[in-house]
Amino acid sequence: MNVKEYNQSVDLYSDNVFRFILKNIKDEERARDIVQDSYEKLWRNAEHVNPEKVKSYLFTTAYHTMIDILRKDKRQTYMEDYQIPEDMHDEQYSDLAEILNYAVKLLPEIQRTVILLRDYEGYSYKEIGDITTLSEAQVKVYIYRARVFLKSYIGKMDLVV
Amino acid sequence: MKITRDNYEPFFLDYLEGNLDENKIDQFLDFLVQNPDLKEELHLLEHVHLPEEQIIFSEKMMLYKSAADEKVVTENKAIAYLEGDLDDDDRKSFETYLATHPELQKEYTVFTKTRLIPEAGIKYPDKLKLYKKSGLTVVMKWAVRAAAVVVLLWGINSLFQNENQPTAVKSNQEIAALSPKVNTPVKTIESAKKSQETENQEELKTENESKLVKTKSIRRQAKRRPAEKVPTVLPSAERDLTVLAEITPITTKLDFEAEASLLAVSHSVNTEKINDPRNIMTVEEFLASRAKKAGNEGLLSAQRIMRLGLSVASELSGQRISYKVKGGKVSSLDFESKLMAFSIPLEKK
Repeated sequence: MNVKEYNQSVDLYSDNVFRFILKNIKDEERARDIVQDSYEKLWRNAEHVNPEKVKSYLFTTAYHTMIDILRKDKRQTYMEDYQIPEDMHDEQYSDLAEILNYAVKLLPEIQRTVILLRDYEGYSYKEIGDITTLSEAQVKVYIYRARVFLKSYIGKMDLVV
Repeated sequence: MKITRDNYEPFFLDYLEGNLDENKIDQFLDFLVQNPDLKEELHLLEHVHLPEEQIIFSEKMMLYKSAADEKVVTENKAIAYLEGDLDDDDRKSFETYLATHPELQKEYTVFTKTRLIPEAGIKYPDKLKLYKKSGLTVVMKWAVRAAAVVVLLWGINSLFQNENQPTAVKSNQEIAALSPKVNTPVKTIESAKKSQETENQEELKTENESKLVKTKSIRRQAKRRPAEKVPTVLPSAERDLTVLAEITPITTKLDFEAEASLLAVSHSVNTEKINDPRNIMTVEEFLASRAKKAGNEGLLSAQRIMRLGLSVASELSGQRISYKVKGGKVSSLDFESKLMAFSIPLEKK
């Protein structure tokens, strides 16, 4: 890939990768570093990366960097106590979206990862499996479990609301 | 079949379990009479019997099917439908099932709400750091930087020239006009006195004539001192001759400016001095003279070479660059201009 294609990938995917990582870990600074690190790796390997697979390359690199960091970090904490700043809120943010956002934080790490890739990026089971080094069957099971959890959480909150 | 010593075992088992045919029982008993050793073996086999144990499978509950299982199956179907995992037949089947079970429609609606929507508000803030520039852009960037440096240097250079030129021009003009300027006020005073005398003498003349004479006198004065700009003197001074006396301090001012201009000349490059054949030296002679001034150390000592270089730089820059020597070593470099002045200490602490 050339400079133009690389810069296009910054425009197209940097927000997505950042959002994906930020949703998985608590630390915004680290999320930024991971995105930057992923793009550095992409640039270093630009000659060998197929421009059509840049997005997958970025997500795969970012995911594994994140996992490495989380494993190394003994003090890893997930997003339970992380609050997205007010200015980051979408204007269309509804009660349901807030409930769902909170429920996603409660998911096990791997379920959260696969369902974010599925819903945010529209990846297939196979693509998610390639990114996370899981089998398609495992990905499917995690997504199903995540859906059931989210559905039951929404259902409960629906009664409360 | 006749019972023999080779095939008696199945008959023994059938007899013990009560499965031996009645018409073979007599034959079997005759065989035992004829073979007493086997009759003992049959008695031994009668005692071989495994007692019944009370072993219960405790996970029976997991095996039972219930309405909950049906719910899980339905949920899985709903999720599969949502994810697009069902083939056409299963999809149509589920749609039919859903249509006939309104209570499931609500469940399915909740499932549809579990789809996560990306938050557009979350954006990566450091995109500018990620962009890469092509080789041409980098070259252009450096070219622009180089051009900026050239422009800056040209600007500084022209600034220094502007600092010198007006002063030099002014000084030249004023030096040229120095003698008339010094004398002119005296003449002015003399002519003023003369006009005063004339006025006194011709007191009797008509006022109009007097004005005419004074006007002529002033015109003559104006002709005598064309270079003097300031005393195009106040029209109100026409009658009041004491005002002319007040011009005297202007002489002092002009003298002061002349000194200032002389000082400016000393800072600027003195072209007359340079063009004077007596002052013209070759580069070697110039450097040799500066080297002589630079010190008495060895010819190639670092301090001497440094002082020589600084001395030359100082002279070429009109003493804007200077240096201080402490203990035989250059202790600091100084730069001074109208815009800025700074000093760089070179001593090691």
